[in-house]
Amino acid sequence: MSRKAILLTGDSVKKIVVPGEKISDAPFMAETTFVEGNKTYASVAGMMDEENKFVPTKSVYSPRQGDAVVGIVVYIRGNGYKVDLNLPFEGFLSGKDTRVPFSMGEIMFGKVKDVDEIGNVDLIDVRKLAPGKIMDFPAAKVPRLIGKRNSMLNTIMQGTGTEVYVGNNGYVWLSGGNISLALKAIDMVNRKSHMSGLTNEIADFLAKHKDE
Amino acid sequence: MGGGEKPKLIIDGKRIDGRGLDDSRPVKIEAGVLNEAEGSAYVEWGGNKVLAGVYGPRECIPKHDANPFKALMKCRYTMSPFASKEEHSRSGPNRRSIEISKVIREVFESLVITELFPMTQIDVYIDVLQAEGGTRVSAITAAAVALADAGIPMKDMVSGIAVGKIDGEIAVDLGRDEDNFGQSDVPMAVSHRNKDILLLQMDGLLTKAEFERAMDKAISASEKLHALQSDAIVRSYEKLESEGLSL
Amino acid sequence: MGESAKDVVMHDIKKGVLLDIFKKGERMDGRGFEDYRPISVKKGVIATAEGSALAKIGKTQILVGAKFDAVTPFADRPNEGVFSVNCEFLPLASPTFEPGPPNENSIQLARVTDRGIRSAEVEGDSPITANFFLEEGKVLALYLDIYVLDHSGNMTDAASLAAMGALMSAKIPKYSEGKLVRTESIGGLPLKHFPISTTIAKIDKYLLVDPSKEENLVADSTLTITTTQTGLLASMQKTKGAMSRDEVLQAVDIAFKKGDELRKYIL
Repeated sequence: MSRKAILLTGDSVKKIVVPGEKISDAPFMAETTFVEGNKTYASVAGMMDEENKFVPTKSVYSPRQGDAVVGIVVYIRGNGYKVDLNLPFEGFLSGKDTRVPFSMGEIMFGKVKDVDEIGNVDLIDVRKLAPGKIMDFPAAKVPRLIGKRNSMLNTIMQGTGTEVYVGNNGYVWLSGGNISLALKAIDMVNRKSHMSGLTNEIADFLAKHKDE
Repeated sequence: MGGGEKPKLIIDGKRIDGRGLDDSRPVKIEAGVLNEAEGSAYVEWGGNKVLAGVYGPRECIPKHDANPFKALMKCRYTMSPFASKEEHSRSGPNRRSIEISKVIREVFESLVITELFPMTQIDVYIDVLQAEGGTRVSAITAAAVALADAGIPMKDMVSGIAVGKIDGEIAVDLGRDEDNFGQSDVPMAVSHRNKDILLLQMDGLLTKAEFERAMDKAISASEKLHALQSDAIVRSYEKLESEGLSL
Repeated sequence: MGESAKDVVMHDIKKGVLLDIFKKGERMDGRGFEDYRPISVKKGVIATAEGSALAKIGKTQILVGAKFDAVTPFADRPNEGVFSVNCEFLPLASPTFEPGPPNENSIQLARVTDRGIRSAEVEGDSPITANFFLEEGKVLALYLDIYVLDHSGNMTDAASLAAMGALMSAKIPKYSEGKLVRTESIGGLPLKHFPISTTIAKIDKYLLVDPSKEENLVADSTLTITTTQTGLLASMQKTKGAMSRDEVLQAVDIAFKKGDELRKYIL
């Protein structure tokens, strides 16, 4: 590439990749890459990390078995529940897979039991979450919001007193404490997700605005 | 437009706005300018101001249109009632905008990896806020960035670029008057990696040799556009605050 | 303005969560009850329009273009100009906006904005269309098109700001030999009043200025009040639900105060 596509992110430099750009001279398959003529190309925008691995930063969420998700009951059927998971199709929780009954609009935190070829999701291992605020968060950046060993999530919860559950599907549930401060912190994580030292920055920000 | 001669489009080797034959008008591109749309981009290309927004993959409506093997690409290109410097026009689609919507959709049907999202639709909305010739290629250029901003997987980026013949010469990026009074207009869309031609339309009269030169100039001009599109994507990371649209 | 299935089923939960926060004297985004989100208005942004403005309130973004045409007047009003306000909810502005002809919501916004603005009389207590007569059988038509680009709540006040900005920046083209000469202008509209709307949502016993999208979804009622800088009420529109007499009067007081604050962004 004749043009530099690098980003200064505090103390590290990361290379931004755009769709169609080559990321490897060897073929390998991932959800956000494709192979052409034995080489691998990015299909979405992202960056190369310190180990020269491609990290997609803008991508559409593809549910996988075992993913943790936050969902909202939007329809009650005889045999189970239709659940909004921020996907093109509603997920399904079978009545047999839950002992807890749900009403319309109630919120759950559960796991993806199964995904079919079309993308229909079956849920399992769900617990009901109390009424709370649901916000949208880009699925590609969810790992950043959780952090290594939950470091970012704990920082936010401790700094606000708010309970937060994050679904891989990009739904975030918040309840109690200083919700508006927690929302500001989460928005910061979204905007600065590529910066290093972010967990400390968020901790400082929360400490400063704690009593407002 | 009755009477009067057609204006001269090239005088002393320079075009009416001072450009050389191979010069494009200045282009500015911003990604992520809208909050609601999942992906968005704004392009200022000469006097064109074009806004693109993307939603999807999302539920396919109507359901019976859904394709069990891939996502349906949908595209809606429209011009605002105040986009023309002449009369006010009615809002909504017309025959011209419907045809342009179709050919733009076909560009992205070739690029978006639709097999990943069966039974869904992906919506590309492009609105021309201000027009000055070459709106469809500005639209394609904006839509490609909006799709990348939305994280919709594509096999390549694509740039729109129009070339044509004015006063007997092949010129790159025709402005409105050149389009109206020139001898041929050739809007194209060129993919970056393989230089595939994904959109090609032509009117007027050209010899084969002239057309070949025109196409090669378009492919060459598309390189710079791709750099601007990539730069817009890179800058959307650096932009820590999104202030929205800046017209 | 279109609700998703999730919005509909979560209505009561959302309202409960919001009320819990209101009890603490603030809103979900940290604002006070009478605070607007950040506002900006930029005039003259579309060169092909004779007047234009882009207004933002929070993440809501609305563009208004003003265009003049020379038209045949209505048969029963041969000396009167034409003033028409149209509104498009662009499908890119919200996941709930579908392409198609105007629906009751975009039509309501056009008409509410129109009513608010029509009070922006020109000098001499005449309507905006005074002095729109060109010659026998020809009058000026002024078209305002409200283009909603990004819907994050309170499109009404953003449209009001953008529409006034477009009117203020509008340059009337010269009329010569039966045609408008758009490259030459005879000046702007001599506006006298600068009506701006303030929208207030009632949720339970709370009155909230500049409702966010979420607040609007659970509001029991909303009231839009347009005020002028001369302390006059210029238009009102109440939506669904009930408000008490006292609440309405309280809203009027708030609107006068807020109208003056908002006017600073266009004057």
